[in-house]
Amino acid sequence: MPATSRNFALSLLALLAWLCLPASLAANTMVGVIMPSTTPNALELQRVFRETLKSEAPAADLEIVFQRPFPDAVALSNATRKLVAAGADLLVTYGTTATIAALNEKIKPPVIYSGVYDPDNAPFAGLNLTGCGYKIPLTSLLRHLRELKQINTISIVYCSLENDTVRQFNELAELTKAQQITLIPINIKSGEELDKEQLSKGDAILFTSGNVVNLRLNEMLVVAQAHQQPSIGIFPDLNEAGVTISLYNSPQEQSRKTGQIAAQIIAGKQPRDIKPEILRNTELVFNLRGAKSIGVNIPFQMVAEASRVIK
Amino acid sequence: MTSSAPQSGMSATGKLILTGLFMLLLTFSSEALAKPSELLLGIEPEHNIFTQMENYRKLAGYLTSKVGIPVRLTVMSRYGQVLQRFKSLHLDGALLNSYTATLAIDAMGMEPVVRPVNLAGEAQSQGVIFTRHDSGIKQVSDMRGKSFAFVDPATTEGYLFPMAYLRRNGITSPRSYLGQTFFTGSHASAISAVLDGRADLGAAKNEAFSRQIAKDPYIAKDLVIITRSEPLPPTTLFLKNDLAPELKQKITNALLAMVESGEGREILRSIQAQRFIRTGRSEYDIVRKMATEAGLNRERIATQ
Repeated sequence: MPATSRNFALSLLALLAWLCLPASLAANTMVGVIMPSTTPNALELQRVFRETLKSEAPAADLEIVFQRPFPDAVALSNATRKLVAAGADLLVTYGTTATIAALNEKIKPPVIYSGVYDPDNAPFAGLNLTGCGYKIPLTSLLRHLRELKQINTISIVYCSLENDTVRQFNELAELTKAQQITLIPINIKSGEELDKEQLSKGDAILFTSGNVVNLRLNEMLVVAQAHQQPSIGIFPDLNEAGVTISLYNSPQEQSRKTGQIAAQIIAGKQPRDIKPEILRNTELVFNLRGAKSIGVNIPFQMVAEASRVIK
Repeated sequence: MTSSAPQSGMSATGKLILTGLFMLLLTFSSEALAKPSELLLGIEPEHNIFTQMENYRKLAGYLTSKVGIPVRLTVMSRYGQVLQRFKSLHLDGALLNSYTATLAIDAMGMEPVVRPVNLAGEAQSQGVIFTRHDSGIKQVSDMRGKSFAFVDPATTEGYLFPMAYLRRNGITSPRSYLGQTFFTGSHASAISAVLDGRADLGAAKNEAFSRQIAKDPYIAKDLVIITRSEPLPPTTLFLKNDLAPELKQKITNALLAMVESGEGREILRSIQAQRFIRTGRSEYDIVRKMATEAGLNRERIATQ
């Protein structure tokens, strides 16, 4: 065979071999992650996601790029565009608002959501979409508060920019109405002054699980402390700032599951073939120190049920 | 060399002293059987032991006035260990759940005395397996890998029944089939664990389930019962075998007669009962059958 023909045949063989390689190994895979800047424990969630992905897809040549925009629709859309322009093969979005923003861009790469509240009822859908969300029994929040004290009014803190907290708020509004509890809505946004007077009116404060809510938690706990209001939150009080009761799904576990799903997609599985996960197992934490400081006594039988107690 | 023959009998004086001592001992022990200085009854812990003690204290006061000796109650640290506790706590009797009751009958030959009829008019208990209504769990095949909140290894409704139920439905190793499993220590806590989402499934007695719903009607919307057990004996009063028969009779009569007086009915209500009725050993055959089905080592659980 002449040298030219031989070289051509070898080149053809090399090209065929390259084409036959699994997608994951064919080239560098870029995973774009949109995690709002105020996500509590963001560094820890990033670490869990990165480590899971690397251990589940060890052969993949991965590049993981994090974008941490402010959690409003415009900033989230911009983050999506940046990642797609940079060549992201896969997008991971934390929260419903970030997921909606990504889907609105009608992007080609598959989207994996994480940290989405009640994904079965989230306002998004798509064939190129899967993920891992969580569900908290909101009735338990009211039940635990009632076990602490008589609750006639309750201040519920949410952020109208964030879909997850809005849906939690709406559900709670129905529950409080059914239970003849007067609801005081506290819609907080970053940068706006906190309506301390409204916040202090409730017999207790309930914090929905949102980024902005977390961002301004300490400020609100000062009000709770001053007015001896017990509080309950749908997220871990990571810095033990003084939330009386926390009932939450492990964010780390959600990040781990998300990493596992991402690894399956990198391995060639289609998002529509991966069943979305909903974490339902919760942890219940009582902050006895915080309770004592506002003159609230958490009954022994409640403490006995806790996953963890802060003393 | 002479040797005296071994003495085969006792001298007349020795016999007299021994007889005297024996009579004295008999007098003391018969006095102890007839009139112990006080009566100590054990009760198994409920969710709120403070409220439980408060309610049972009234019952103890009532019995004291009817029986003529002080009746004291003590909350046993946990379910199970019934055999050891009777000895270590020097109990004269106890209110036992059907599981520990069966152990008390089989290992100590104890007799059940009376059992309560609850406020709904039922003199029987029932185990229930439940989940949150939105969990998607409807049958045994949905339970694979799911977390389960049991009450205590020594409870019929809170452990024996769910284990027997799973094995009856073809699951040979229930604890491996399920995901994370744990013991909550009380029936109310098992219910609370499922309500909170700390467990996907739970088991408890139906009475505790109804009581939680009565306290908080919204719970009824959140939970769904997947299955119920056969009727089981409820918590029953057992008395020590060597307690004087006339004292046993006095206690039994006092409890059976409670329903006849206003004071008695009020105390009965505080322990969620309408009245007491007599009971017998045959009631516990169902528990033995369930333990066999569950494939559990009862002796091991009893000493755990």
